[in-house]
Amino acid sequence: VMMGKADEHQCVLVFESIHDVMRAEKELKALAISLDLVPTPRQISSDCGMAIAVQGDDVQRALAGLTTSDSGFIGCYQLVCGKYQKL
Amino acid sequence: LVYFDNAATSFPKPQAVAEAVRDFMLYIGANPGRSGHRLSADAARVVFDAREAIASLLGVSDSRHVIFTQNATEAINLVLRGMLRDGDHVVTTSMEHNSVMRPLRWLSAEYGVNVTQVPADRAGRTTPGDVVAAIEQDTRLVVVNHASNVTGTIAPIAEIKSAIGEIPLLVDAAQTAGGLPINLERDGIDLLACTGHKGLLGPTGTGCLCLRPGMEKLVQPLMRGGTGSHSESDEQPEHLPDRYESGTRNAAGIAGLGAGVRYLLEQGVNEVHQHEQELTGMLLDGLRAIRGVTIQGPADPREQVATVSVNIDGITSSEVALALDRRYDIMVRAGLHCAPQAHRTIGTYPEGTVRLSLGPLTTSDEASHVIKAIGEISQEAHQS
Repeated sequence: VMMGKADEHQCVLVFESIHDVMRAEKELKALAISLDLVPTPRQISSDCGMAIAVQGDDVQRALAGLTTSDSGFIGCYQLVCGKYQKL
Repeated sequence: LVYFDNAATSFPKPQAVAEAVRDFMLYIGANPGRSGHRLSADAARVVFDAREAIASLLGVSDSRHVIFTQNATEAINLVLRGMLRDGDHVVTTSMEHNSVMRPLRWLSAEYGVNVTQVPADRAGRTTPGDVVAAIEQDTRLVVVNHASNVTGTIAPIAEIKSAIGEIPLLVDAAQTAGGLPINLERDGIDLLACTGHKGLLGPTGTGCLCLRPGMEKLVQPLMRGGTGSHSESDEQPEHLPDRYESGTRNAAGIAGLGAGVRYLLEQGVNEVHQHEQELTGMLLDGLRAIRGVTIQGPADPREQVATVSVNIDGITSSEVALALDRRYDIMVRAGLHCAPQAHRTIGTYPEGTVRLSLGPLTTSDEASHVIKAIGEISQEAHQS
């Protein structure tokens, strides 16, 4: 769980709208991927105010789960040396 | 108390509906999705679940195409005002509610939109052939009331859509969603306007517009504003549902609407329809046997929803409604039911009708009580 300070082991999944976040949350939970809903980090151009944080180990599984449908998924960002980079 | 005014709004609602509204107000309360905190996520989840339930009930394959509105009137206005431009032609029927007719009259006066009203027969029936015959080269939209709020007459929407081809069809499902099986894809509906507080069993102040994919390219938003998405831009987002959902939605109401729709999914719309059809048949049979009572509309439960309009010789519709309320504890609606042209069509303008409308929780005992009361009122009117 993200406890305030951003964590370099986590990735942040960003979506078009809150509806897409909710749908992705449901789909990822169905894949038993542990996740956390967080305010979209300000450093990432904010498409939607809420984003999904997942552990680095789960990112590939999460991306595979999302890209199977027209999910409104915009991008996956990781904190590298204090800056968010799009994967 | 016997509530026979479900065509105005359904009552009683399933208990789960009231509980969902209460739980939202007491334990969630936050703005759905606007903020990143847990309560905001909980609120967004409630709205999402309601949207998914509606999509499932109405055959909408992607729930992003379910747009929450405050009622069917807003959904209809969204389409009419978002789609029609100067000189466009619209085909509609003579059975429409004012939610369709008033915006069309205004668009006609202000923007020169041409409106053709296809006349229905005395029972409120519209035939696909008559709709097709009214199509012109610049017809941009066909608007059909799925079932009349006056007579309950069901329009053959799938046949009308087959007949009109590519021209978009807007269906006003205020009287049918939840009580009659509807499948957007199977029935060929392009745009479906629903209210949340009638057959869908939600609270007042809820409703939705369902769009077939692609229709969003033809319909401009009715309002533009904050959506909680693309906050860095001052332009309206294009993606659904945000394109059409500016400003905070009625989240507490939507919580209740979601519970109402899940109740219908559990019960089954076919079962609800069958129950209402049986009671409508019983009501019609009982009323037919009373001297002095005229039943308006098809008077056949296979051709109508659970709404029956009657007139009684020698007594006005408002006097009947008052007598039913004060002497028999029966709540009905009298008068013109916001559809003057429909009353002209069936020959009850300006007197109006006494409208008896049932719901999924209506019982046969209640129907018997209503038949007996109408029988007594009719007999008294006949004797005086």
